[in-house]
Amino acid sequence: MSTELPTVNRTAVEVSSLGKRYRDGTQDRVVLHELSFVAPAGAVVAVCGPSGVGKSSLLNLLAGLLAPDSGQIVVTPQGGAAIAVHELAPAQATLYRRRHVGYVFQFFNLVPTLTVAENVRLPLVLNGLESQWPIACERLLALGMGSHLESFPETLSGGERQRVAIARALAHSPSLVLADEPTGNLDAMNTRRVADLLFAQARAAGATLFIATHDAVLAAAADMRLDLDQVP
Amino acid sequence: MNIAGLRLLLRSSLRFLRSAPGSTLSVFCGVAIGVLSITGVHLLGESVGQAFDGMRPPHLGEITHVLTRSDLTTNDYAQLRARWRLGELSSIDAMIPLREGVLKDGVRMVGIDWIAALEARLPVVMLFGGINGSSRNAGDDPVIVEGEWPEEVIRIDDVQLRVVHRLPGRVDQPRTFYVDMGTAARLLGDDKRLDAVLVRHRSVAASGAEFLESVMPGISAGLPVAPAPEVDGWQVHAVDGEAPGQGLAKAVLFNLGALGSLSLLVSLLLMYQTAVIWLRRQKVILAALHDLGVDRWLLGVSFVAALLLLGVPATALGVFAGDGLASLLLASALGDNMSVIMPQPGAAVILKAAIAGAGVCVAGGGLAWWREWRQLPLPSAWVRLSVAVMVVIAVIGLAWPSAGLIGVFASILCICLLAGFSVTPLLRGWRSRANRMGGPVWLRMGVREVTWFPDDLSIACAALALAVAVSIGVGVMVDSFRREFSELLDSRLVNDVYLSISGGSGAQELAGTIGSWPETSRVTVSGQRASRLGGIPVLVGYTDFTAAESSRYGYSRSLAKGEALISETLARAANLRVGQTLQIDSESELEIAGRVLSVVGLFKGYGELGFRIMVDTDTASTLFGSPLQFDRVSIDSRKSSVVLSRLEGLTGVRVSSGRTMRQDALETFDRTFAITDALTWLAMLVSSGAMFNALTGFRLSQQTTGRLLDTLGVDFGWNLRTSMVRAGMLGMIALGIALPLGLWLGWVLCEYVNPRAFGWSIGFSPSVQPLLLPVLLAGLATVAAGFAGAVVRPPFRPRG
Repeated sequence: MSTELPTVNRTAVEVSSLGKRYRDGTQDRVVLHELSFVAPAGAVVAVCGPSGVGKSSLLNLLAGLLAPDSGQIVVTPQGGAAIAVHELAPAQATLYRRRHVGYVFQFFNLVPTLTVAENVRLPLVLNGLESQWPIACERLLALGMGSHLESFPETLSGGERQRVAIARALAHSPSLVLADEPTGNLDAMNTRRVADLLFAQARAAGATLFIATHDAVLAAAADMRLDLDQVP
Repeated sequence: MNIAGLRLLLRSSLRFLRSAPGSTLSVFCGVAIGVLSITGVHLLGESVGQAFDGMRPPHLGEITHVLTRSDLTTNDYAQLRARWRLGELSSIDAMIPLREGVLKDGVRMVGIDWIAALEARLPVVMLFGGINGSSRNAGDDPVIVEGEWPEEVIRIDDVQLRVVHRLPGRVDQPRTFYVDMGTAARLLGDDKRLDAVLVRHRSVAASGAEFLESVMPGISAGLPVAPAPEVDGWQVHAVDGEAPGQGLAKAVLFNLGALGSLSLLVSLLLMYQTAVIWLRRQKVILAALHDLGVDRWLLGVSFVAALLLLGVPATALGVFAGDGLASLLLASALGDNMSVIMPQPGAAVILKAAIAGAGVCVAGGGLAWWREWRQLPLPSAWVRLSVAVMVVIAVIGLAWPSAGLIGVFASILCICLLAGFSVTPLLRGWRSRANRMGGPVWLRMGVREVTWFPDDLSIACAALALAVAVSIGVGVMVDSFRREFSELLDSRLVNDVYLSISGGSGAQELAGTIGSWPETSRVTVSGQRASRLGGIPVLVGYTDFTAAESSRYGYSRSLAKGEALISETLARAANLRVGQTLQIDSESELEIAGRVLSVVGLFKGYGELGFRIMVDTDTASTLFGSPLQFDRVSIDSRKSSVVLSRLEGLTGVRVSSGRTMRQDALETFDRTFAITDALTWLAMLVSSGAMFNALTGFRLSQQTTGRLLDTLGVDFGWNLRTSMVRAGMLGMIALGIALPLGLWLGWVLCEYVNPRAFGWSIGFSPSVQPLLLPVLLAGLATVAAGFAGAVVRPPFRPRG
């Protein structure tokens, strides 16, 4: 199977008529129905809504981890051709994520058996971009993790782990950064610090950031807000 | 007990098992194979045991010991019986005098006092059921003859014998007549003489051994010898010497039983390893339930109960398949000669299987639960003490000969467990080194995962190491044995053609005729006689012992008069060494007193069921008088095919070529060890299941890392490489343990197990060939498990 990505001539992140449902016992549970939006390149998009509304599902659909039941997702990377994510075969989706997507989770952000430096290097190694390690390392230093390069994640605090996760998500200069409640497990001080760093770093890298959150302050700081519970 | 709660938790555990079909199936198969292995060996043991019971001389049924003394007479017996009646020998509950001898035409006559047997309710009386007043008055003495049909009448001298029972005929044994003692005295002469007194000795140890034997056929061969009764003025020896075939069969069954238990042990490790993985995966939920107020023991009981429910059908399948396995093993061992009837699984074997299956589930699951939920780590003093105890058992089991076979196997078990349980500390010890290692990230990750999570992987590694080590050990032993056996056949079967003459007459005339043929270069005749050495039955073989003939038995010179070569098994049984003297009890009717022989050499006799002494014809003449009976002829010829064709059509003579006998012997050897091969492959199969479960379970238990790697765009190739690193590392560790352990095991099997089980020794000569297949199979199992570990993917469940 070809691992070249199918392209179409569109711009930014464009989602149209997106639908996703899960089989829940004997019944189908619809989490996304006819969702459409356009996110400009470099924008910070807050994905809001109560639990179970489909925030994580939307992020996983954008990452190509899930296939939609209906609709289209088109992502246009910086300086590249548009990618029809909804049409990607599994191997193509893996390649798409590796090249164009950075991901930050609420929990378990790091590979426990790799050091901080190795975790951040990992996307560079996978993409054959190890020459960019000095840039990624500088980002780590800017995030205040310079003294922890050879530490393993288990020795870090929650806030430190999320900072390393941000550095890793941006290491290979992805066009799309997806953050799934990245501050949900942090105290108020760390929430603010991590959010500021994430927004600043994403904007500096020119990446489009989708952040799923319950935090109203965080959502207010975004360029665009997507309330999934208000989608018709 | 909160039954409703237990039921609810049990349902939850069963649903979890259903959600992990791969590991559940492999545990199911592991338990089934473990049970199948012990059931198959048990049924095989029962079958072989019954066959050997059928071959046991009828007068020895339930007899435990044989009492002898020099110049034994009926008066000695009367005095002994009087002492017994007075209660002096309270542990003896049956006593029967025995008279035996060889008639002039080679027929062996065994006479027992059937009234004494009747008093003692010994089974032999049942065989003489036809005896009654009318038949005795009619003048027909009852006799049991192998191969003869009831009611046939045999006449010897002036005595008419009527066959009352038929026994299966035995090949290459002197024809034996079992008669009443009075009849034996009339035929053999000297009615005051006795040869032995058979007794049944009761002791707690003997009763215990008898019970264990019914549960585990062959186990008594491994137990220390039960103490013999002490009778002043009498030599006492165990009855096993009278029926050495049974001792050999029990020793074989003991070894097979131990080997059959290997799969059960490996399946226990599989269950333990999988249970640990399952508990890790459920730990968050179980901890939450405990926080909600659910008792820890209730959680544990429901978890183990779910494993038990899985174990029930697995055990049933194991019992069902065990029947088939036993038939297959027996067919592979006996080939076309299969005439043994396979018993149906009875209550004992079903109970044994149920205990084994339940034991694996409860012990494996329970240990895993205890390990995962214990509050404090095991005190290191306990660990050190356990290691010390196992080392002491291992040393004593080998160094103390009285520990017998069970001592050797206890030693093997301890060393294997020590080797197996060294994996976890070994991996932990490598952790800091793995953390500092360089190389590709996937390599670093794979190596670190193995050293970081030894509890998830090490027991599977230990199971594989044990299975491979046993396979190597048995392979090395069999290879060494086969080499020695082949050399023995080369030296023993140097002649081209062998004749065995039934009835034992006319051998010398036949040899003279054959010797005159132009195709023959040398013809020798030989014969053998039954006798006793210190009460132990022996076969005395005789021929012209030239230097060439002696070399067949590994001795360089011709045998002088009064010199003897004895079999290694006899030397061990009678505690004789080269240079010592031995006194053969000669037959009274030949009117020769006991003669003293000098032992000048030992020879090996693998597979021989009795004890043998080889002497020159002159010595035999002195012992047994002339003329001697010769029943074998050996022919040397450069045109053996011509000789064989000329011998065709001879009646009463069995003709065999040396080459065919050698081939047949080696084929029988290989078929016999096909059983051990099958049992070790079963253990390898279960250990492969443990590796599969460990690596796939590890991937599932590390699902968050797996999901993270997915989002980073890690592809199948990366996962495969990492999984192969994990599997390869475990495989290398398993082989690193298995190779030295297997070689040690092979050495122990040669140096300790064979001498203690069978009385013969095997030179330990390791070679590469027996290592290849186990190493290759372990490699394949590792690669397959590594591949499975890469293929399996944790279910992807977004939170919303």
